[in-house]
Amino acid sequence: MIVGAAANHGYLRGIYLRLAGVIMLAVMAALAFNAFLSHRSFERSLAPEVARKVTAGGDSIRALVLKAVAHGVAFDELYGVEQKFDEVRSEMPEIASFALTDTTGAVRYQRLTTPPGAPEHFRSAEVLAALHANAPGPAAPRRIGNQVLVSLPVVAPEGPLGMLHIGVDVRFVDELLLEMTFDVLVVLVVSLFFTLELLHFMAGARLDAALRSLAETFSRGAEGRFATAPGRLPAPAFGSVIRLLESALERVNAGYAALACEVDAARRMPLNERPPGLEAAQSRLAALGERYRFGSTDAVGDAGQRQLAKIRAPLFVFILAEELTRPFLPAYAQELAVPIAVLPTQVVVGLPIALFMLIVALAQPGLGALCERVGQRRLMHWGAWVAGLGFVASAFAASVLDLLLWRSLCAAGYAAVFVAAQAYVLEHADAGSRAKGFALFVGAIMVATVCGPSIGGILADNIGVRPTFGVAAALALASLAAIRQLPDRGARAAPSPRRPGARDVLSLLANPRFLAVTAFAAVPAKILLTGACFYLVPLYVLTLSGTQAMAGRILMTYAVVMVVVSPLAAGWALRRERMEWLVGGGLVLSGLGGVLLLGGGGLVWVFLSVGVVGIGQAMSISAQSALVSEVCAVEVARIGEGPAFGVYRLLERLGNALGPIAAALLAVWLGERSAFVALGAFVAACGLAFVLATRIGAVRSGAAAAST
Amino acid sequence: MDSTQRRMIAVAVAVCAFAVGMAGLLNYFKYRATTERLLEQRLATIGRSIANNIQSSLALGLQFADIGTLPAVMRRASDGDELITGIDVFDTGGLTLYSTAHARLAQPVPAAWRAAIARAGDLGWVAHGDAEPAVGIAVQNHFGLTVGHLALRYSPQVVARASRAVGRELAVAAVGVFAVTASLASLALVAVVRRLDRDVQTLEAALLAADPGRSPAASRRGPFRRMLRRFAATVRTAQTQIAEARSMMRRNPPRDGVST
Repeated sequence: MIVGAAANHGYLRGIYLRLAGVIMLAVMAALAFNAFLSHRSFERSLAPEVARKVTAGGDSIRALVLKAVAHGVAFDELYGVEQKFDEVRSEMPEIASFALTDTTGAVRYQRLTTPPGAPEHFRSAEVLAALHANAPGPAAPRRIGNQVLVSLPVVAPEGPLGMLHIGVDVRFVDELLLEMTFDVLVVLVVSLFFTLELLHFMAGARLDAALRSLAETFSRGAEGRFATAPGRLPAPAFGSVIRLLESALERVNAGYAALACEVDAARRMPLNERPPGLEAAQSRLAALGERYRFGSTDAVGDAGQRQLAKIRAPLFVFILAEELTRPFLPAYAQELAVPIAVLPTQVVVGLPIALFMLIVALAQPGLGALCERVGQRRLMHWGAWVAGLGFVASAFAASVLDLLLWRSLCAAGYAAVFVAAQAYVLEHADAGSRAKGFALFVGAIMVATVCGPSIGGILADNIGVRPTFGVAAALALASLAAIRQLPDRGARAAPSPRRPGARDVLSLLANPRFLAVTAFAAVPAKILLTGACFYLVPLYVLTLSGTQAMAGRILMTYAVVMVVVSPLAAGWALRRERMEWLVGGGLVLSGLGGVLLLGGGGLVWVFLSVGVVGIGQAMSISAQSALVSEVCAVEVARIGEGPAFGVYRLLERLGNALGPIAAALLAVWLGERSAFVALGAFVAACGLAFVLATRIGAVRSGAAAAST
Repeated sequence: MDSTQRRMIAVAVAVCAFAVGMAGLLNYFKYRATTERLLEQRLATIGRSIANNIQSSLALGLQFADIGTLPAVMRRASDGDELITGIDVFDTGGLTLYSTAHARLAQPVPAAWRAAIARAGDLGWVAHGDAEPAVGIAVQNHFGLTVGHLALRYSPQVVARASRAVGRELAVAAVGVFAVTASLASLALVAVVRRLDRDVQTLEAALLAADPGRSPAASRRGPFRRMLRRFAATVRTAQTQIAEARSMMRRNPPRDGVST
């Protein structure tokens, strides 16, 4: 079965790669073709606008020339024309050339290089006719070489003096499209993740189930498990093949059953009538029964697996709604900030994020109980509605005070959906598939964190922050359609799992190793995430005259790094010692990521810094949960895994709430960049403290073991 | 596999719609922002020439509120560009001193303008929030002191008209690109899915053969060949052993016992 599963995995991955590759090629072609068509449109429509703009600049040159001529200076002997050209160009850098020609089209004054073919154009009958037509406005712009030439007649009351030609480099359109390169790349990356998500949602789960069913049937045949399962329904994708395989198995099973009947019937015959080889046949029958499995067996369906996969789509769409707001929420809060008692503005700006995280942390235990009472689907439904309402209201917020209220609704909805989705995975996954179920759960969240901030930033920059909240609301409400596809189990009949009490919390806190993992690793890691990445980065990037799209790209970098590095780190964290080094090393690295901003404060440094923070966090976070199981083995055995992890998660999430406030206070004192550095240094110090604590613990344990 | 093909086409359509839609949206907003920037720069250039005029008058010793030639200069500038709906000059307190619209004289300027000035300081400013947006610049005397501001009001409809026309053009282009690429992607995806179909058909052919394990043409191809061979070998062995047991029953036992 393992060989079959591995072969299937490879085969399915091959199909996925081919499908995703085909779609990516199509998307790249679409984006390239779209850019080409847009370039043509831009060039055609913007050239006249640029011509009008340079005409306004040209008017001041013309006025100067006319004033000088009016004062009796000859047109051929003007002084300072080139300097005036430079002055105008300093205001309009897209100007590529200036030429002032006389009535015959001969160049009298020039600055910069006119394009090849320009002298002929200046002397052309069309241009000279425009001069003598005595029209005040410019002649129609003409493209000569790589410049669009705007020609302005210079006409004194006594008659025409000449023509002012201003060349605009047509590559300004290329530059406009180049400015969009980052956004288009973001669209490409997000499209890739959307493709994989959609493939999984619309076809992958079915294909996966079908391939698993096929592999299971192959394995049964290869291992000689011929027992049939009445009522087994083959997966639709490979239905005909599986039926053929099943019928081959059934034929063998039926052959064995018929042989058994024959042997049994022969044994009932009088001794003299019994077939001569009965004993040999009986012995062969027994041997066959030992070697293979015949008869009937229960149908092992993969319905649970299919139901499990259904959670991914609503979770992804819902989390995407919240992630859209990451790059612009601090700036939005800053825009709506009002004085609150003695709180500095920076702290007020951090409050919406901190309150959101606090509600998510504190509401989860209560929502877990509610989930058991009302069922997962209903709680997810409520959560999506409440969050949708919160997003709509956030779009209309008048001040940070009501924004706090609306963000609380979003937080309550988020916590409800999160808890219900987690409960859904637990209910639909057995012990063997639980890890896969949680990988599905975490995968949906990670993909949403990659796609959400980048798209949210682009939308906020282009359509505005308030309409982007509207998009988030639409997504939250759209997740309702996917939530409706989930099975409704209603309230749980089973007794509710044990919740951690005060004694459990105290017993865990009395464990120095648990304390080391939470105080030195989990909480600082979350402080750095929410304080630096969610609060400081969006604000700091805006002060660098960056955009919200840039903040989104930086947050996307963090998420992409997490998606890539986390599985590698998780695969390496197999032994406790490795886990400890990964947690400690990851924390130190992520802290150094923050300290990296000492090297420079530009956007490249912010990208680098957040990237390094992401690598460190991926190393550390992947191993943290596994380490909790290791260091709390005694407590887990006594109070159960759920309560132990409940306490750990609660403390970790309180770190989430603490992050923006700590970052805001540091920003008041040090400024945003230095606050990032300070948070990084704090986390690096925590990482070192964690390594020291675990090494000292290991040495003591070793000494204790040696003495006994 | 019809259902899988339909789903693949839906994936291709959804992803292409997202990518082309986002690219179209970006193009449109980039165009609009660029057009607005160009218009604002154009107005700022016109405004600067008026401001230079005011500065020259101030240098001659005229009072800011008493420049007799200024209304004519403002009117000329306003008439010279169809985009401009009016020009106002106001003091640092926000009181209009000169205007191409008579009704605005001695009136306070809109709050949105004052807010934009407060944000910009002595730099140029743009007020979008008002029904009639404006581009403004600070008017400074020769000592660099700001004595007032000049605002060029413009019609947002001009920008909207230009954006709408290009928006339509970009939308048509995006729909065309989407239609072509979604169709191509769908066809390519169907081809990939057909390969999966072929693999399944190969497997089916091998199974339909009288003895799948010995059907060389069918079972030596495709990604499932190893699994099929192991399956067929076990099934064949079991069938042979059952047949042997059945025939054993009908014949005399061998003298040296039963061999399994």
